[in-house]
Amino acid sequence: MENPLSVADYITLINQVLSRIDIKIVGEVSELKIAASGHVYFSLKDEKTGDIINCAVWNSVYRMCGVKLEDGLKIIVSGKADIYRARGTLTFKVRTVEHVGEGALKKAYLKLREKMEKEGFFDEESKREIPRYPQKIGVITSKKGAAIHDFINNLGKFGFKVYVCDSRVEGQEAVEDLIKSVKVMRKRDLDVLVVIRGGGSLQSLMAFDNEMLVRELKDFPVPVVAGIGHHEDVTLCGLAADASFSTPTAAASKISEGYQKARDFILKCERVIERNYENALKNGKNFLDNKNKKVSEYFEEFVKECRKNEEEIKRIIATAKYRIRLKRDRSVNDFKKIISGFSSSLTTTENKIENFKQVVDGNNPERQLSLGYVIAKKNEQIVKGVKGLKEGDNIEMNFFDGTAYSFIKKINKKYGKKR
Amino acid sequence: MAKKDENLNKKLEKLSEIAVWFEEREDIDIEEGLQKVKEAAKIIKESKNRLKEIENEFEEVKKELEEIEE
Repeated sequence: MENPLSVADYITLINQVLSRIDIKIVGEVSELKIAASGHVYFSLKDEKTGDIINCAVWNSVYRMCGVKLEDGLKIIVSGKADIYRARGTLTFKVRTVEHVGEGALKKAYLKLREKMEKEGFFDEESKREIPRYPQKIGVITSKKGAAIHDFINNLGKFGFKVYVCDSRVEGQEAVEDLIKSVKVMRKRDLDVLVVIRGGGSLQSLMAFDNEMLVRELKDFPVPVVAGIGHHEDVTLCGLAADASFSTPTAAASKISEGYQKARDFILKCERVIERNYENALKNGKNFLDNKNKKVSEYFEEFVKECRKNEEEIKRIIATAKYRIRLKRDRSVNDFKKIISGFSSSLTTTENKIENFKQVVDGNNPERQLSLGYVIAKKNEQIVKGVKGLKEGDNIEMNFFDGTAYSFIKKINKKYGKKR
Repeated sequence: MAKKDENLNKKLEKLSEIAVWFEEREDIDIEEGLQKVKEAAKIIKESKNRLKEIENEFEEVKKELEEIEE
């Protein structure tokens, strides 16, 4: 300690040491002052000893903490202390404020719930419909918890694009982280936002009963699904969410519900269509079978009838054949008779012709000529005697082998012979 | 996304109509039924493609980075 420190350096040194001490302290609020800036100043008093420490809560922290400070209120604050240089006083910079004990927490919870209920935060009419087939899903939860695994394992594989924002989810310290996460998610193009964590006590879940967080979620641009476990009372975030479930698993099922339902629906329709069309085909087949049977029966009956008539037909045919044969035999006989008659007539005619031929042959002048007779013609007229001739006539003399032309020199008539 | 959902919804509606058509008829015309079956098979195939198992993608969103961008 050869060289003494300046006051400023000393304060700096102290503040450096103090900045490493992030701590929670419990006490009672006193001398509460709220500045125009919204920053809150009070003394935190030890219940037993009455010792006090100055506390400052910045406006943003106070709005976020969700605890309405008032004198005498027992609270737990977390944060760090430092020396305020201008006055040299130690001030505890509060990062979180929370109620002490389940009873106080419950009271604060009920009070806030009533207030927000009146404002319509939990109205069913204000809830938005969760998209049936969401694809881009924002998830706010702790990477370290079991909730994210339960969620992912039950989400189904439908090609979801899942944006996970790691956040503290335990105790009052989680409020700031959760609100930041929601703000970060606002910038993402999402179909739905999911906030999940496993179950816990009112104290461990107190961040989800934070007014500012509830407002952020209610104001989120796309529907919000809460999958926040709870013991007795549903968290205010759960009440305000568009769909709320008590487990991350149930929240995951809600996200993939549309897809699952669509699959089931398709399967159901498939079965209905298949079953009904199969029945229709069966009915059609039965109809055809029946018709076929009837046709077969009719055909069999027809064949029977035909067979029955076969003998009759054969008999008729036989009779017809017999009659035809009989007629044919008769016709043949008649024909034979006709032929025979005709033949006889022909023979007679032949004989007559022969006789006639003989007569004709016997009278054929040419035959006479060959015997030495001559046919004389005068002026193309046959000369039958000298009566038609006179001396000096020229006549033709027709022999069997030619004609000679003669001149009548003298005529000697035969007397006493008349023709 | 919205268009895809709309298409899927339309397909499911059409499929539902066909299923109802089959359910409500006692005597189904085989030829007409066959046409409906063909139509349904096409819708089912397309819808199943939309609903088939596809691995999800995960991306971690960093608050710090987002804040820096702010």
